[in-house]
Amino acid sequence: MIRFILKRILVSVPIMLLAVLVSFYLIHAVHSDYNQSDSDSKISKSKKGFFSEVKDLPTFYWSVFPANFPDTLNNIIDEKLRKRITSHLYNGNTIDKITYFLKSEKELFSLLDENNTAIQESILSLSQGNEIKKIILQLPDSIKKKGEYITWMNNLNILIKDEKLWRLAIPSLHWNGASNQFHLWVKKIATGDWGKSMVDNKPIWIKIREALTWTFTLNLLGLFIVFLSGLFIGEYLFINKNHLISKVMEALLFLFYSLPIFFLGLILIYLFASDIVSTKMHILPTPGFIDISTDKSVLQNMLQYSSALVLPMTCMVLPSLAYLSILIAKKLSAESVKPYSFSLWVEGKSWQEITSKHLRKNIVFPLLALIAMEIPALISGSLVIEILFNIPGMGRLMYQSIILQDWMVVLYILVLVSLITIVGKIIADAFMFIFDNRVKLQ
Amino acid sequence: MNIIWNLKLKKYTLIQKLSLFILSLYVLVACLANVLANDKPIYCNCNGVMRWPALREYLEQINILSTTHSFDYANCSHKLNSIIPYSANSLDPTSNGFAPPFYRSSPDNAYHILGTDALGKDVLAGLIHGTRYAFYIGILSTILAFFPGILLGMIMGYFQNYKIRWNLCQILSLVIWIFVGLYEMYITPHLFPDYSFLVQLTCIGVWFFLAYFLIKIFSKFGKKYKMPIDNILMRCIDVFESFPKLLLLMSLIVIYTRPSTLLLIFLIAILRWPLFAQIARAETLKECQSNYIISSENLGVSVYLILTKHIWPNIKGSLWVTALFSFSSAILLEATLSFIGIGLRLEQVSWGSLLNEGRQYLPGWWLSVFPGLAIFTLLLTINWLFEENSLSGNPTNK
Repeated sequence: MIRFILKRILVSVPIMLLAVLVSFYLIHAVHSDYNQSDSDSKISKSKKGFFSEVKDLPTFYWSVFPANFPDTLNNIIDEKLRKRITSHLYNGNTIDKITYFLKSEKELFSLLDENNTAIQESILSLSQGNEIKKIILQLPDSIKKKGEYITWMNNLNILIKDEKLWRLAIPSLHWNGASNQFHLWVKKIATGDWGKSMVDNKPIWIKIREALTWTFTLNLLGLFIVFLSGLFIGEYLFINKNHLISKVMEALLFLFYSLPIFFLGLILIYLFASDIVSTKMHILPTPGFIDISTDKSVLQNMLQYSSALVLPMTCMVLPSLAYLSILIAKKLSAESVKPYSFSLWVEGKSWQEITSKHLRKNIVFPLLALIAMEIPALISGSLVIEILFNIPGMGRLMYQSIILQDWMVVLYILVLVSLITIVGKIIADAFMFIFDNRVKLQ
Repeated sequence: MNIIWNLKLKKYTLIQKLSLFILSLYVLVACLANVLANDKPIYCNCNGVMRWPALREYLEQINILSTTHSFDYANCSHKLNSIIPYSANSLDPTSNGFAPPFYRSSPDNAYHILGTDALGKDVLAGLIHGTRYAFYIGILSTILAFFPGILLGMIMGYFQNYKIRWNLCQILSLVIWIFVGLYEMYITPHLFPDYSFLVQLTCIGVWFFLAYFLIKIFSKFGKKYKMPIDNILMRCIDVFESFPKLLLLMSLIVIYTRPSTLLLIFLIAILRWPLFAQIARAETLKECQSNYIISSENLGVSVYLILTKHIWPNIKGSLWVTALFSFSSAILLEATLSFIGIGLRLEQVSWGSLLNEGRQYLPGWWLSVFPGLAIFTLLLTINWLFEENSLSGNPTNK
């Protein structure tokens, strides 16, 4: 058994690494996108984070560039200059010719006065040498006679001659060593230094832990209710297959099963938490007022707002209850066709007895494994409910961080959820292996 | 598509016939959206010239005709208005916003049968155009996920971990070639001045062609090893599966800052293909154990023929069903995203965006109840149609 679990863990290590890498690159892409535009005040807030501290470092252990790219491109901290040099590099120029050109350009611009700022900006925005040549015709003649202009012109001509696209086709590999963004970031996670949130300056770890406690407590409670009542209803449906009541119940459960969660939540709010249908039905508080106090524990907070948690719990339980009970009824009837249950029936035992003594054992363990695999999915599954009913859980934290552009929190949630999913799968497999003898035989 | 074409209605139960009927109604509404709800007339006669403005809109939407064309419909004679004379985005200046169902500001105006939203847009018109939009997203994303998914799934299921045997030369050259391909995808936009998606597609095609030849050339020499293709691809799928789809889609949408509809469809398809791959793989594995596949292998039938002539006809039934469930779940996913407000561009009216408005303004129950019912009915219909499969193979389930 230990061998089995060890093997399973070994296989999932590269998967974990890949998942971490994918989420890192997602957030990195967002961040480098926003770094380019400086104007928005919201975005300047996100510049204080981890990525801005390591802006001058390369992204990964190695980087692949075209052959004419220099190693030191990351060291240029000025975003605009770096962008400009990169655009010339993508035209196929070599770095030394670009440097000469930019130097002489700086000298030229020192001559220009305020009247020529439009030309200056259009030169800065262009990257193709030929296009720049067209623009400079608009410069006044007095400047064209100066020495700086002539050296700049010479350098521009050299630059245009130097544009060779084939240079891009040759890749070159640069080894960056351990001083890169990804390495530093993984080190940061491993040492527990998760940093602080941009929004309220709270440590990210504490924020996520609180949200996780809410989500897990509510979901596990819901799961418990769902599993027990699902087993009960499913067995009832199976034993009384031909009764009218069970047929009506099955149809109703099927309706609930196809109900989108957000629609169910809205209907429940209309019925029980607002005056729209009738004032008599308005027995529960309207959602959107949960204001957790920090000095109490999460459980105390939950107890205090238990009346506000009734609707979200119903919303969480109903669709999955419908799913599980129909599934159990179907699995039971699939099991009842097998020879062993048929022979029991021939012996004269009632279906009730057969179910409780034999069939239940055979369907419950696969279902438990299925549920163990579902636990991580709950984190995202309750996202809609948390947003709708304003519960301070994981889903709402993710939603709020995305809206407030608090990327580090989003990144950590993505990593955490994916790691929990992978671990959950290992646990489910081990669970099946220990408790279900049929898996051991295979 | 055998389920749809070979309609042996006798085999279906009453409830399945009913759901087929409702589904075809949905399709009809989606197709006729511009005619059913439009502020332009369907037909009008302007100074002796016949005009079909509502029908013209179809061609405008697929960029065949220009939208700049405009003239005053009010002065035309013989007008034939559509049943609901409001478009999804047309504002009714006479209503003050949040008009309840069956409201009209004056006897001259038409009824807002299902009320209006905050800006005075008609909800029923939004629902009808939202149907078209939902079908557009559902169908396209399913098609995009379907083909790569089943291709990879069948390859995984057929070759498994031992049927492909390569020597070291082939493996090394393929690994190098994969890196070359990745580099090519990165550099192509800069290498070609008039870069487009088509250029990239051609490059990828050439890459695959050359990869095939690489494997052919090096196949002659060396000791051969079994290739664990199945394991490698399954681990890739595991990485995909380890992210909750909704969270991943949310962060992807944030990266592209309110993407266009096509990009959203593409993203949904990227998240959906592992599902098709898994089901195709499982079905193919089951098929491969049967004797007729083994005997045709031994007779020397080519892999292509075995996959297309023998395996595909036997597995396609369950794949069509999965495709239909994937269609409904893509619609549900889009609605959920729009509902929580991290969806598409704001001017796009969809079921989810109406629901989102209903969430923000609770007294306006008509904003959320009717679109919610529309989604609910569609999901219920598809679940009814395949009641047998709906629990085991249904990706919509939470």
